[in-house]
This record gives sequence, C-alpha cells and structure tokens, in this order.
Amino acid sequence: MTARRMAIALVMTIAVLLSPLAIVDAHRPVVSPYTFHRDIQPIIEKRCGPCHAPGGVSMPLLRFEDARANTWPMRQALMSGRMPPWYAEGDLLKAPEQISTRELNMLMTWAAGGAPEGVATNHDATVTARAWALGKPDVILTMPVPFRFDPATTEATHEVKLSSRALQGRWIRAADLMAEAPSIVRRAEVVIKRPSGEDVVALWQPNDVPPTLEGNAAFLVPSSGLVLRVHYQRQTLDPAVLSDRSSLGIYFASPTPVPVRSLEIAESVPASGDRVIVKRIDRQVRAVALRPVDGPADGEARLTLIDASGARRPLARMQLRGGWARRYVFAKPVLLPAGSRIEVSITTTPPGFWTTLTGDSQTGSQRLRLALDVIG
Amino acid sequence: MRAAILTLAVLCPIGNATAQQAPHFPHESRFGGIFASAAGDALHLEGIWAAQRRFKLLVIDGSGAPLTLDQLRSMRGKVVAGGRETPLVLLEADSYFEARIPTLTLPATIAVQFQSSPTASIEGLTFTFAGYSIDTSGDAAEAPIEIPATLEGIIQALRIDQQDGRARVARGDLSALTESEHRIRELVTALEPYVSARPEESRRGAEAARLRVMRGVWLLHIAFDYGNAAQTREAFSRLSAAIDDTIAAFGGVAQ
Repeated sequence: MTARRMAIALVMTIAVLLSPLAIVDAHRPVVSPYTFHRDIQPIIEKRCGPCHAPGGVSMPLLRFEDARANTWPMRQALMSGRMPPWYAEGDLLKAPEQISTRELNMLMTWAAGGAPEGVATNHDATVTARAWALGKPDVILTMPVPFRFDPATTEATHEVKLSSRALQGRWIRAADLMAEAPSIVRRAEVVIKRPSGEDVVALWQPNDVPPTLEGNAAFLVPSSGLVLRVHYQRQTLDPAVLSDRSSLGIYFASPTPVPVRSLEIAESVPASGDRVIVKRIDRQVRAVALRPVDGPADGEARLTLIDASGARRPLARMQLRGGWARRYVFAKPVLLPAGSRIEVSITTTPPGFWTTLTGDSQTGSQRLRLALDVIG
Repeated sequence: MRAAILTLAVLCPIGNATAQQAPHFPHESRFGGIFASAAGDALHLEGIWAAQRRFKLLVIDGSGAPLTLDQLRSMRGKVVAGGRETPLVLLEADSYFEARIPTLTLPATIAVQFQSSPTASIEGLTFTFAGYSIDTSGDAAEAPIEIPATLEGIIQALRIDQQDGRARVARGDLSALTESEHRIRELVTALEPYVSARPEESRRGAEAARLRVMRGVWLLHIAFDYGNAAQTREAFSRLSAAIDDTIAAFGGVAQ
C-alpha cells in the first residue's frame, strides 16, 4: 500500500471512530451525577455502617478508596437484594427503616457510572461503639472461655452452654450479643436444646436491634440453661484478630408471659419453577413471628392466610437466603383461626442461574423450611 | 501523508491549548424555549414549556458552559403561573430546574422569580409562550423524560413501558428492552411523594414494591450488558412483576 493510501486509510479510520454513528448503542451508558463524598458516603454510613466500617465484619466501604475498589460487588449485592440483608416484607411485619428507592438508585448509578470521587470533605465516617440496643440487660452472661480461631481457617462455629442461677425458671423475651471482637463475629443463635429439637430463643445479626415478640410471648429457660452458638468469620488470615469472648444480654419477660411454640412448614421444592405448599391450622393460634429456616438460595416465598371462607390475607413475602437467619416479627399477633390455611407460594430459578451476574453462589436446600412462632 | 497529519491535528488537538477567555455565548435559545439572562448577563437561562404542567429552566454560564451541581444548588427560584406559585426544583440527574405548574391555555405567560445565589437579589423573568417549546436542536444527548403530573399518569406510563417490554420479549426482540430503563427509574422515583398519601398500613408495601422495581431495572441493565438471553428475559420478567406489584400498591390495576 502506498504512503498516500495508508494516510487516507488512517484518516478515514479515525473519522469513523469519532463518528457517533459508529458507536454501537447496546444501551446508553450510565454517567453518575453523584459523587462519593457528597452523595454516596452519607448513604453508606447510614445504611451500611458499621458492618462495612473498618473493623466491621464485612468489606469496608466507608472510604472512597474502598468503595471504588468494590463497585462491582456493591452493584451485585444491591441489585440482587442480598444487601441490605433484610429479606422479608409485608405490611404486617415490624421492620427497621429500609434503604429507600432513591438511595438504592443513587448507589447503583454511582457504582455503574464511573464512581466519581467529588470534593473530599473533612468528614471522617466514624462508628460509635455499640451499646445494648434494648438498654441494660437484666442478666449478662459472658462466655466462660474465649473462643480462639484456628490460624489456618477463616470460618468456625462455636457452641457454649450458658447457665446461671439468675436464669432458673425465668421467661426470656429477648437476647442480645455484645461481641468482644465484632470484626469476626458473623452471627449467633441462642437456643434451648430439647430431646425433640431446639427452641430458637434468639437469632442475632451484627447491629440488629433484637426483636421482641408481641403478646408477651416468651421462652422459659430450663434447668439445663441456654446454648449460645456463635458463627465466626474472618475476612483474611490476619493473625491479629484471633479470639473473642462475647457476652449475652438477657431480657426477661413481663409477669404474665405466654409460651411460644413453633409451627413448621417443610416440604421439598423443585429446582426451578413454582410450587404451592399449604399448611392447615388445626387449632386456633396467634402468630407472633416467622423464621425462614432453609430453602433454595434464590427462592422467594409468599405467605398468605386463607380463612375458612376462602378470603385471602397476605402475611409476608421473603427471600430464602441463607446466612442471615432472622426472626421477622409481626407488629401485632396475627390470628390464625382453626380451619384456616397458610399457603406458601414459592418461586425458584435453577441453581446458579444468576451467579455470573449477582455473585450469588449459594444453592441452599431443595427442602423449604419455614417456622411460624405462635402463641395460644 | 502531510495532509493526513494535518487532518489528525484538527481532529485530535495535541499539546497545550493556550488559556483564553471563553467567548460570550449568543443570546438565543438552544432547545426550542425562550432565552433570558440573569446576574448581569453572567448567566443565560432558557425557559422551556414542552408539555402541560411542566416548566423547565436551564441555566448555563454566559460563555455557554454548563454549571456545576454546586453552583446550581446555590440557586433558588419559583414559578408563578395560573394563579399559583410553585418552587423550582433542581433535578440533579439532569442538571436543570423544573416546576409542576397548573394547566395553562395558550398563549401562556409564566413568570419566574430567580435568585442566582442565596445573597443575590431576586430577579423577575417573564416567559410568554405562543406555543409549546419544540426542541429542534437534534443534539440532545437524551430526550427529556416526561414525568406525568399525576399518580394516574405515572402508573399509566409504567404500564406502557411494561407492555412494550412484554411485546418485545414475546417477539424475541431483546435488543431494545433497556430503552426504557432510564424512564422506568425516573417514573418509579417520581412515585416517592405519593407514598405518604397511601393508607398508613400499606405504605411499607408500596415502598417495598418501588424498591423491587428499582432493583429489577438494574438487574435488567446488568443482564443486558453482561448476561445471556435467558437472564435478560428472566430479569425483565421480574421487573414486569415488580411493576405489577407497584401499580397494585398505588391503587391501580395490574394488566
């Protein structure tokens, strides 16, 4: 090719590249008008700290450098619903204030639209030391011996029996955990072990306000005491943080406690598609809370109460994600009359369907287990 | 070859540009609206009335350069039209001001009281429209999104986008499924002031439905960019279901 022809080809190529007609508009790219310091950090601080603060249990996000480095995981977690980790909705449920639609859109737009920093401020996102969320507990029990991480592992579950004369014959309405090393305490359960199984007294997640049940619902502590089960997780194999000696705060019930029992709904569900499960209520009870126990990781369940006349009342809608076990409390006990039915409509996608986009790699279980905490 | 290099030099300026004072921009509208100036001609404004109930005010520097969000945030204004005063609200995503005004008959006079900074004096501007503003510039990066002024209008607009998307999926045309994603985000954001008007016992459900639409739109966005056809179809299916829930939550009837 002659020099003249090469020159013409070069100019034409560049002209084509600069021409807007040459840009294949797969769809319009996102450009963020939001900047980190002015718009995004306040949202992260309010909705995501202190779990995502330095020293928290999850990846730090409060500094620009950390958030910028994690824009893709942020997008995955936010759009999949994995974060923030509150997986039930319904007008009958008590719920903390959730991330708003506007805030979610701002975070996603920022993360997808170039993640601009903006003008740095003097604001240092700080995390206030955690206090007992329900006030001073009636009894505080500390793990008798600190848990120590095996240096070669990043996850561990530690179970310890806690008993005290102060608990004997008492009724518990709530329990809270104060971790000595919060950066490694991922979640915890407080249970009463029985020959037939376990009564779940409390399910603890970092920075949750422990839920209390309505209707004076409470758990009677047996002579064998309580079992605290703590799930530990380290982000790295940093040898600096290796031990924890958490304390459990116990809140006693009012003088007229009502015992809680569990109604479980359990059935196998297909790997993908829809399934409807119906549980008949034989004896009138009042539901004070519901607890997803297990199920397909990408499953969504809708609970509906159907009374004897066929009238339907939505109870709740939830994602069946593992790793964030919670008790979702009804704002008022929900009457389940004898002869009524609980319908659970569950929808799933094939395991791994979304993994490449959302990063969700858990498959969960093909056996759905939901528990209703009831009284009466 | 020399000609090629010169052409490149025109297309791709190389080297340091000499600092120059930016020329003053002509006093003319650019997007079919009516031109005005403020702050001693340091600011150029354009009042745009492209559809009933919605008045837009663009504000740029006298040299034609866009202003920063911080500069725009320091400005204040209100619109007087149809016997009512309405504040000018800055739409940060689009960097212009907007006011929801009453329905007007043509020709229409829209007065604006404008303050270029918290300490600046209030300037009165009058825009008299013989007809609606029609943008013939052809260089708008994105057509402005028409947000209906009523809840019913927003719901209907969501329905149209939903049905349009369903039709595309039905005929296997996934390529344009995300055309309306920006509009859907704006529409569901525009529902925010209507949440508090819902009965108290249903507000959480309404907000949860909106959140699901927003998540659904972003899932569709990412599925389109990085996913496969099955994920794109499923993402749209979730979005469509979330739109149904939102319509129902705000008192409409899902179709």
